[in-house]
Amino acid sequence: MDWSGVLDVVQRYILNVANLQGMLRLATPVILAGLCALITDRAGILNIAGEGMILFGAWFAVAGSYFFSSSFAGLFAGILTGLVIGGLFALFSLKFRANIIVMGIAINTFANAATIFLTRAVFHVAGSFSDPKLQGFGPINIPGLQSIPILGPLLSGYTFVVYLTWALVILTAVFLYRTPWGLHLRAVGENPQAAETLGINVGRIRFLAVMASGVFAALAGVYLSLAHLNGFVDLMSAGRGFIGMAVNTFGGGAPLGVFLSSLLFGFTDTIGFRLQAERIIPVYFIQMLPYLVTLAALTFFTVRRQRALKAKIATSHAGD
Amino acid sequence: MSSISIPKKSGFLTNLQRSMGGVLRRSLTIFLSVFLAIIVGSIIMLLYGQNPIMIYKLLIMGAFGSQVGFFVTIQRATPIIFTAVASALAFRTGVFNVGVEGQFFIGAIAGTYVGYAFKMPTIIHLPLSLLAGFAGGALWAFFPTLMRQKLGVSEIITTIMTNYLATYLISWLTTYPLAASAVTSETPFVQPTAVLPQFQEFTPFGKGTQASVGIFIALGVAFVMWYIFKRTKLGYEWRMVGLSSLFSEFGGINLNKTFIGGMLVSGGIAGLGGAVEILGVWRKYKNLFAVGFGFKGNLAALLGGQNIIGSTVAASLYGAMESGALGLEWNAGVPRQLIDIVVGLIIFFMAAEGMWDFLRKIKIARGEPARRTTENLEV
Amino acid sequence: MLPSYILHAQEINYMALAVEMIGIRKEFPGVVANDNVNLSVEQGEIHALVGENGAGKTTLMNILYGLYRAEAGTIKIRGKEVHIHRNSDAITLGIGMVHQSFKLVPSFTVAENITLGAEPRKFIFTDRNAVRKNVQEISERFGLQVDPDTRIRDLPVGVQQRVEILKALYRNADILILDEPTAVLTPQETRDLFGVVRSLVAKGKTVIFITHKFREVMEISNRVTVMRDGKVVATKETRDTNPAELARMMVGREVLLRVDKEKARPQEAVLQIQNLKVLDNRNLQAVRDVSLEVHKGEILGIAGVEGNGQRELVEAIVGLRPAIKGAIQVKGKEITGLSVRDRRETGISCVPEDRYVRGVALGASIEDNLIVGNYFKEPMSKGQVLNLSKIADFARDMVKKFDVRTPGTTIPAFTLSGGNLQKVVLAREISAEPELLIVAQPTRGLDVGSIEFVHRRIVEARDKGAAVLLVSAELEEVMSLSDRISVIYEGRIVGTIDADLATEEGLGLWMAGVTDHHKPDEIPAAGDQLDIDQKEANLV
Repeated sequence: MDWSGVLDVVQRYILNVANLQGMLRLATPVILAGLCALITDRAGILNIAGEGMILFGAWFAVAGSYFFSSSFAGLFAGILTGLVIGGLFALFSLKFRANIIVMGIAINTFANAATIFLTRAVFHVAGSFSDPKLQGFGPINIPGLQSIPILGPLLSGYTFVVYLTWALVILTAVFLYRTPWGLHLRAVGENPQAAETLGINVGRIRFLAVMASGVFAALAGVYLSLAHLNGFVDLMSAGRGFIGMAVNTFGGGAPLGVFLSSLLFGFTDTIGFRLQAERIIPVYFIQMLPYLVTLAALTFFTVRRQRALKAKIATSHAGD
Repeated sequence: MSSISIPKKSGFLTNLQRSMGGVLRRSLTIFLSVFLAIIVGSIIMLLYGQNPIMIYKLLIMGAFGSQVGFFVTIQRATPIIFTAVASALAFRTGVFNVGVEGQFFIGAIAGTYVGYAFKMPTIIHLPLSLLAGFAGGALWAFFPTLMRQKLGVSEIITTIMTNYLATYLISWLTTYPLAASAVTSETPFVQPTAVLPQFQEFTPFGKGTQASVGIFIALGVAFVMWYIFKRTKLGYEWRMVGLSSLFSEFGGINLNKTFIGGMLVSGGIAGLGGAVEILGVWRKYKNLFAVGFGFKGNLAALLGGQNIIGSTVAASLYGAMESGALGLEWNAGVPRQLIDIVVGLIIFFMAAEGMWDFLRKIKIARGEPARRTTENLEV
Repeated sequence: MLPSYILHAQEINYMALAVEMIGIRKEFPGVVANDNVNLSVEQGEIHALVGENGAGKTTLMNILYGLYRAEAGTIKIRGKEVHIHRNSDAITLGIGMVHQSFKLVPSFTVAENITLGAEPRKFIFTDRNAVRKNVQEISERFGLQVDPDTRIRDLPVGVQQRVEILKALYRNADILILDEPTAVLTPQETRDLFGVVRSLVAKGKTVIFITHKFREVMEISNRVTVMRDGKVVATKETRDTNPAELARMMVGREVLLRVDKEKARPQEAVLQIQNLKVLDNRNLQAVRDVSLEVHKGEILGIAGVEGNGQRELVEAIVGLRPAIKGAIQVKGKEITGLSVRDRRETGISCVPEDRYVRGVALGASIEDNLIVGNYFKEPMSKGQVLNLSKIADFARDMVKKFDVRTPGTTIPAFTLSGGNLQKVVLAREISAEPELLIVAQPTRGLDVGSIEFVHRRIVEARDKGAAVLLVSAELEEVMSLSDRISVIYEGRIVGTIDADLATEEGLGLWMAGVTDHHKPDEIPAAGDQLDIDQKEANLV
């Protein structure tokens, strides 16, 4: 058997620098959605509104960039949207005691309708909007780094949002494990009464966590509309809010874990694009990939966790 | 007694007052929520450069003001009743089935396939096609249910994932294996033996609309589900498990069976709705013929207080508003998503119990812990 | 200018009161939890605050600690009027509180828990070295040994409580509120705690000690305040009072400490358990090796400090938790493989310890709550259809027989008080005429009237021929209700004794796991080796 053929296929479709670059790039929105799920999860809140927040972030980023002709204005508009939607979500579900899942379902559905409406009302087009006036994010080449083989192309040449995301992963980790506020947030998530009796303002921490999750989600939207596509497409979040929740589960609620598990989805997307270009498999099956991977990974993850649990039980018997 | 928890006695007394004034309170909440949503909706319309009073008038006239409008209302309400009843059933059983959307699609394609691929007498063909719809929806609900019951994976993520899978699977099916021709993404027409008659086909009413006798099936399903919930052992189990799975388990109710049963029937009803929509209105499956019926059903169920009658009423009203909105889109160029926005707003306001307390200037801080974070039933 | 001796006297008077609460009123919707309450606690004393569950002691202390806000009244700390709006205010004023259920974060270390909310910082980061150092320092200063780096979830309850006390001391608490601190401790751990409390007072701290156990009041306090129904009944010097008087003040009438019941006439064994092993939620062995028998017509009481496997034992018998080893037989029939329903059908009924979670569905009607054990059988249903009128009759009948105070049977369960709710549970479980009735913590949180009612019903069920397994953390309850008593410690039955021969001290030693004369495998399985146990009881 001629293995070089296989190797060639593997290299062409799977393991090459372009694919790894794609993986790192396309993982970005999933990482951000994962951080959105993480920050609320660690504060003890079940936030399923990430999907809707991404859509809003994406739309307002486009609007900001279009009307101010600046990609950073778009970024700013996106972040602001995240704060506002996160704030409203927190206000209703935490202060006004609305059931948080009901509220999440409502926000997601509301976001679908509202962004479609806004596109038609503001840009007078249906389905998708793009315009030359729209300023997207271009790749940033880091001088010096670029010339290093393999590592250079892997670390250089991404858009600003990608680097911002990497920074956010590190900052979130430092925040959670090295600062008092991070400690408070984790205490609130694990035993809110303990935190409360020590004078930690549980309500405020949760409120801020939801607002932060809004910013993370909105940034995922910014990436999709200003760095990935340069335009707004109806329902462009495509389930990433929920994939983010799954990624947070895989990552064990740790920022680095979220980053690493997101790479799986970045990789899936990259391979998807590659396969789509090759026209080997019907496009619809390729489009299914991220969702199939999510389900498969969830299954694999939980089965493995249950096995580990059983093994633990077995050892606890042995010691008896 | 845990120290931050509210003493139980007092909680019960408040709740007693609440339950006695419950109906009144709830009606008031709904009324005020709708009112507030209409106001916020009006602001949006003003920003959009439209006269809100005009728009609301057109909306209501569009839905009820003419025979055509009324039949379009029936046509739009039919699928939403199915998905709303499906959602309410799942919610009441304690499962957040947000996969109604996908189950509706799969039921639709299954009903379409049986509807066009076989030749049988009506008496067998029509029920079989509907049954295929039910089975398709139930099948699509099965995997997330299994993952929840066997592995403990949240159904919220998995049902959403299966929605996307359904969309792409059907796109493929209608483009390739089930396509009527190589250039279109739609199936052949279903056989005449499998269609549900439209009113315009056998009565002098409803000319120009696709409203079908499917509405009777929808209302029938709603009635049967209401009866099951109220009067049968199965319904009792569903209700109890939804209210407290820990109590039900203690009382000897088989949680697995109840959850799985509830979820499959929920998916089945959604799928049946899909089949009815195809066999009654479209008569063939066009790719992505109607996105959003499932989500609208979710919302209608929330709007209707997650009970069967409430959800059916809410779904009918949703249908009416959609019918009105379609007219609006034609006549005034207002995007019909405006209605979804208003409905979303109503739900925000309705769900936000605390907001009404706040507005009534009841001082929460006095009767309750200085800061309310966790509810604790420990005593 | 006042003469110096007057100034001096005033100052002492002024300084002498650590806490003064005057005219405190606190209402919860429908209930006055504190009604014009006055409390003064002297500097450096141990002040006991006693009263039944629901008397308002914890509410009062939560007001002092800033968790609730009073509607009326003033609070003075060290003579100065203060406004405590949130509990950080209380902490600033030097007030610390150790709650009955600990407020600790299980995955954090001891040091992280102690410093949480008041961490030493370096720039914007937590200064982790300082955290550890500070905790070591404070633990040495007060002689409370802890390892700063152990995670809370790995510590025994007594040590967790020590961490709670250190948490308050770390925040410079001068006034320490202990809310029923002994509820979770063995008698021996209680003794250690008392030592700690005394040494804290010797170092100048003031302690408010909430309890409902008279013996503890007599042993540790300088003064005692008794509360009943939200009001203060009296404040007394401890040496001027006695348990009988305290009991009278607490309840408002003479208390029957013993339940009237005839001598048991035990017959054949109904429940037989052999070498049972059960895991808890963390997959650790909670029931390590339990063998016991309960006979028809007797009440076997399981005494023990909470968390020694009682919950898991009960759950394993009713079928909510798998047994990983061992056998459970009811009337000679092995039931370990059966579902909850099938076990109920073989004649098991259970009044669960967490009434609000397992015992009832709060959102469901009283009717629906009453029929969960028989809705699937005639006459409540026929085929698939429920017989609503039969169900309504049954519910009305039950409500009448068990004296449930409710305006109707179709209103939701959450409208009932705790006592009435427990009557609903009892009605359902006893009306099934069980062969085996399990009652777990049956009177927790109930008022005296309901307690008597519940006790009477349990004895009645025994006299009608049920085998009763009573699990309770209230030693008095176990001693007054049971015919035989087994003590559970760390998942093992450490001793079984005839109730007439049991003494509080002897059971207390067993509850602490002191079994000098016993090796666990020598423990008699059931009543057949009573004589050994009698000797045991005589020894202690």
